[in-house]
Amino acid sequence: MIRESAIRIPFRYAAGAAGSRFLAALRDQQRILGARCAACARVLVPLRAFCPVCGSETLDTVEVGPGGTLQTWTTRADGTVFAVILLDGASSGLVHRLLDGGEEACCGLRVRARFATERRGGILDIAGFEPAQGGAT
Amino acid sequence: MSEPLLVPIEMDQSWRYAATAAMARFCAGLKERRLEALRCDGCGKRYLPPRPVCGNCHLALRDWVAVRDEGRLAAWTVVHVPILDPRSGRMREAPYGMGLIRLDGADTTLNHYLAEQNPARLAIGLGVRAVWREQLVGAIDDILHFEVLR
Repeated sequence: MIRESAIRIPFRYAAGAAGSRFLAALRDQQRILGARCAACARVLVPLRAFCPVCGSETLDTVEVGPGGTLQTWTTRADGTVFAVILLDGASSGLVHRLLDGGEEACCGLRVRARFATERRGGILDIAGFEPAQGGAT
Repeated sequence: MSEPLLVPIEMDQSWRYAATAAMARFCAGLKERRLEALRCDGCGKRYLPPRPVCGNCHLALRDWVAVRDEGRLAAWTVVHVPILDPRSGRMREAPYGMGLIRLDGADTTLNHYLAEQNPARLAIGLGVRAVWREQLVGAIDDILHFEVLR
């Protein structure tokens, strides 16, 4: 006899000072914020309190995206497509969902963030990324 | 500066539990509103929930004996900070009573919910009776909870 079930685990993730600003900007302004490191010039996305590469705490807030380039992707058994997207202006990729089911997926594909209609201050305030019509945006 | 955000997240942790042959028979009994304990040939101890081997004698247990769905509270508490109900996987609404129940015909106790949640009306030794749900499926939550006998 085998019993199967699932337990629901509710928890709250404390986004921190920089994370909170990043999520509030998604929710309230539909803008994607990054941080440009004054020391090494990298643009970190999501917004950070310090540069994880050089340790500098001198960062300028910049807006990145909403357009970007598909760097890599994978399809889960349930059809969900996870992708790494290099947002325009950013130095490293963001992991998020690809919304078209991966039909057009190829490295270098131009994509664009689609924001959720109902936004609550979480990374899913971006519903996902879809192929951008008409090339670069 | 924006307000510090707490992002509420819910995830499901799935599990599979392989019951022993003894537990499988016990659960099959529940489906027919039948409670059975396993009795040790060596020391006579009657185990409910059942286990394959006697903790005292280390003898394999084979002798099933009938147990009533009434018993006495060996211990109890009222829970105010709920945990996940292992069967439903959801948080149970607090406060709720929990008890260790020694059923008539068993020598061990069964951990289960109590219908009573008022500490003033709970006491060790109190008589309790199983309240069965309508649609039995052969699982421990076929017993919804135990009610206090008045």
